[in-house]
Order: sequence, then C-alpha cells, then structure tokens
Amino acid sequence: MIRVALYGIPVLLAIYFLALAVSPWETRRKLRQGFAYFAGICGALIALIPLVFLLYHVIVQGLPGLNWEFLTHAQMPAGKAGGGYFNAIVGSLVIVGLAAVIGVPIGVLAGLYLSEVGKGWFANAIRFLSEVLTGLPSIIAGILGYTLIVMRFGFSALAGSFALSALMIPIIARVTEEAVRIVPQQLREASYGLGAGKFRTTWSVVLPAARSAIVTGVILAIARVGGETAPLIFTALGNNGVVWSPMKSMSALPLAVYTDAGQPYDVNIKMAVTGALLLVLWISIMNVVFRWLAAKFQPRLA
Amino acid sequence: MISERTKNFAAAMAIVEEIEHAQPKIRAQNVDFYYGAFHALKNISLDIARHRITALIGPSGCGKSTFLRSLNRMNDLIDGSRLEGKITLDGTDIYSKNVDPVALRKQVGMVFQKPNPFPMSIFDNIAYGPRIHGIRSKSDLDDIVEDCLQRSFLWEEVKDKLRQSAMALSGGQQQRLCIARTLAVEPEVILMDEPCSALDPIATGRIEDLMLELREQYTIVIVTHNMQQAQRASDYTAFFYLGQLIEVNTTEVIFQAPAKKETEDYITGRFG
Repeated sequence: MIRVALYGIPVLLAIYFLALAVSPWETRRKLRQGFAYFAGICGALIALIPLVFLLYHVIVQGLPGLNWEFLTHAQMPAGKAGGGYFNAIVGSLVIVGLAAVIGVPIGVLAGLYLSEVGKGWFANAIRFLSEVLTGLPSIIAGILGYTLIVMRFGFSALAGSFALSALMIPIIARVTEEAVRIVPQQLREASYGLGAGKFRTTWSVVLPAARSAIVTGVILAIARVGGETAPLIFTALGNNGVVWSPMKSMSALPLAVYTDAGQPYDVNIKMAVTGALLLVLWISIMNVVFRWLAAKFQPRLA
Repeated sequence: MISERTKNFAAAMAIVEEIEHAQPKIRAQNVDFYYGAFHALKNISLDIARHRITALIGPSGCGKSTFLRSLNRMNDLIDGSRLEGKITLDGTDIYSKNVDPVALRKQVGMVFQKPNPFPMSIFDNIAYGPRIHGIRSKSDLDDIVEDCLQRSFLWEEVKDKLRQSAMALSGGQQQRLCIARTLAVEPEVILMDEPCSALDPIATGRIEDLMLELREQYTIVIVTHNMQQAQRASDYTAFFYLGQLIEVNTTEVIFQAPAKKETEDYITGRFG
C-alpha cells in the first residue's frame, strides 16, 4: 500500500505535467480542472479515513456493551464485571448543564459587546484575549478550576462546571460576535429609524436575527466541553456512586472512559469503549437536534 | 365695539396660524458635513415646507442621501462623521445637546432604499414601534396595526396573514409595510431614501399614490434618482451636485424653467 503510494503519486504527477506540457491550451485548461477536482476528492477522502476508522472501531467494540444495564447502573469497583455508566451520564448532564448555565450568558453578552458596543483598545484587547483563549489547552482550564475553587472548597462538580465554562466562554463569544456582525445594517437602521435605542435594537432585532448562528456556536461549545477530560480530573475528580449534588465530587463520561481505559482488566476496557460510543452518540444527537431546532425557529432574513 | 374686537382678534389669529403654517417644518442653515476628511455637504441651506413633498435629486454621490440622513441624525451612527451648521425642526435645533437622537427619530421617521422589514410577523413589524414607545394593550395594538395597514393600502392584501413572516411578502408589499411601520410611531416628518429603486413600476405607482395621500398629515422628504417620480410626486425639488445645493424651487419651475445650467443639464439627461 505504502509502496504503491510512494511510487504511484510521483508517476501520476509526472504524467500529468507531461500531458500539460504537450497539450494545446484548451485541453490544458480541462486537464487542470480535472486534476484539481481529483485532488480535492482525494483530500476529502484522506481526511475522512481516521474518522471512519475510529467510528468503526468504537461501534464494533462498544455496541455489544450498550444495553439497559449500562445505561441504568452505576460503575462497579475496578475489575468487577457488570454495572454501567449511569453515574457518569448523570455527572456529564449536571456538569455540562451547569457549565452551559454559567458560560452561555457570559459568552453571548461578551460577543454582543465586541460587535455592537466595544470600540478602541479595550475591545481589541478582549477580542485578542478571547482569540487566544479559544485555543486554551484544556488542562490549563482544569488547573484554573483547581487553583480557584478546589484548593478552597474541595473537589466538586461545580468546580468542573466552572473549568468547562472557562473553555466555553471564548468560543461562544467569538461565534456570537461573528453571527451578530453579519446581521444586515439595514435592520439596525430600520429599528433606530423608529426611535428605538441601542439596547432595544440589539435585544429585539439583532439577537433574534442571529439566533440560529449563535445556537450553532453554543452547540459546538457544549460538544467540545462535553468531551473534555483533563479539566475534570482536577476538579470533579470522579465518583463511582450516582451523585446529583453539584457540591460533591462527581464522575462524567469522558472521565469514566479515561479511568476505565487505564485499568488492567478487560471488563473495564470494554466499558470504556462503550462509554466512548455513548459520548459520540450523545454529541451527534445533540448536534442534529439543536441544529434542527435552530433552523426551525430561525427567522428568514431574505 | 366688542364684536369688532373679536373679529379683529379672529382675523389676527387666522394670520398667525397662516404664518405658522407657512413656516418651514425643517430649516437647514449653512450645513457642512464630513465623513472623516471627506467634505460631503458644502454649506447647504434649505427649507423643507410643511405638509408638502420635497424631492432631493442629483447624481450619485452628490450628497442628497447624506443630507436626508442628517435630518433625523441617522448619520450619528457612522464613525468619524461630523456636522457643522444648524438644522431646526419647528424651530428646535436638532443637533443641540438636549435633543435625544432616539426621541428625534420618533418624530422624524425614515423609509429606506431597500425594503427592510424585520424578520418577524407582519403584525410584529408594525407593532414594533408602538411597543417600544410603551403601548402594551393588545386591542390598542390591533387598532394601530389595522389603521396603519389601511393607510398604506396594504390591509386588503395581508389582513388574513398578519401572523406570517413579513419576509414572505413581495418587494413592493414589503416597502408599503415599511411605510406602515413608520406611520405606526406617528412621526411628523417622513424621510424616504429612494424608496422605489428596488420596485417595479406598478409597485412604484402605488407608493407614489400613498405619498400624495400622506402629504395631508405629514411632511415628506424623498431622495430619488427618477426624474419622472420627482415630477409626478413632489411639490418642491432641490437639485444637489457635488455636495452643493445648486437650486431649489417648486417642482414645476425646476423641471420647466431651471435657473441654473447644471440643473438643466441634469434633468435633460446630459450628465449624471
């Protein structure tokens, strides 16, 4: 396979350039067009290979374990068969839900500020910082939560939510800024022309017009933090029992997958793969459902 | 004796009323406008007659839209713009510090070049203005919406679909909706920035009829590129060229016996 690629690609390229050199102009145009098309398709296929491989692996290995017990029972001690990830499912819902409650309003407001209000060096500084923070390594968010909350109040789900929201806010702020920026200026002028102030215009006209794009950004942010492990290791810690209180240490799907995958027992590794499958399913379903909702309620702009 | 006095008094009041009525609604005095370093309006002095339609004509970039947008301080929204001189509305300087541009725009409404209904229902589009000015009662809003749609000749076409999106209307309907939306906040002046440039001749005719109807109650200023439209639907015409006001007069005089050569060249289509 590798040998074919190693010899095949240069040979194909050589034939292509040779053909280019000897063809008349019109044929050369078509050749270039065909080559670009072919290269584009190849690139897309190559990009898909890891994803398909991963999905295949997770589905084949994980699907047999995905049963009722897995969804409704808490984890057993390491090495013991049976049990499920109910504690982790509850944990993920609580931690990510709280993170969204903290992060979405702050992120949307920050994005509105950047596009509608902020001018000058202060806004530029915030924009630059949020751009940098978008690429923040998640382990740093974990350390942030650890330093600010865990060192004072101990491990808790809330500390995990806090760390995750630190990852969400810059993403949501950036997406909101972009979404609000492309709302046509004429709509704002129409509102101002009727004697509406800035707040009213932003709240009643600009924000609804950008709703779909903002919701998409929020889902992306939730999906990203829903799969984060590192910040939770330092904050929510993990817990084999089913816990609802955000003030206690709690498990989460990625956390459970991470710990189980590191165990020396086969049962645990099987559980981890099933957990990974559940995580992938959860994020995809959320993506589809929220996008559908956003499209359904998006007002027509043109 | 007394009846003589009363008669005199009544006559005097009538004269006062007449003078008041003859006072221009808007008066621009020596207005200069800058976009940063660009000098867009040069020393414009122009009176806008009350309850009349004034057309602003001139080639693209001559400053007529800029002038229009300075009448309700819409240009305030543009960074780095600056106005010198004085514009008064019923004698009040609209650029003075105690005038709130948001409140001013309730008095001086605006219809834009491209129909720009909000992405909401027809009802909500009209109710938007009254709602922000504090009208909450459903029955009041119902009345306002019907009244404004009637006055903009749109009611018959949309009365059964008030809850549908305004974006589903045709361009001409959307523009009439935008006019109805402007009427709903009960302005005194309506500024129209090429309101028909995106519309076909039939829709344009309907908007012009509407303007002539509205003249009874409102003072209208319209920017147009369409000479016929200025002739058909305005009482006064002002010709702008390169940021200057070249000539202003009744529409008849401007189109039949313009005083300046530039005006004549423009209206006869020799340039612009």
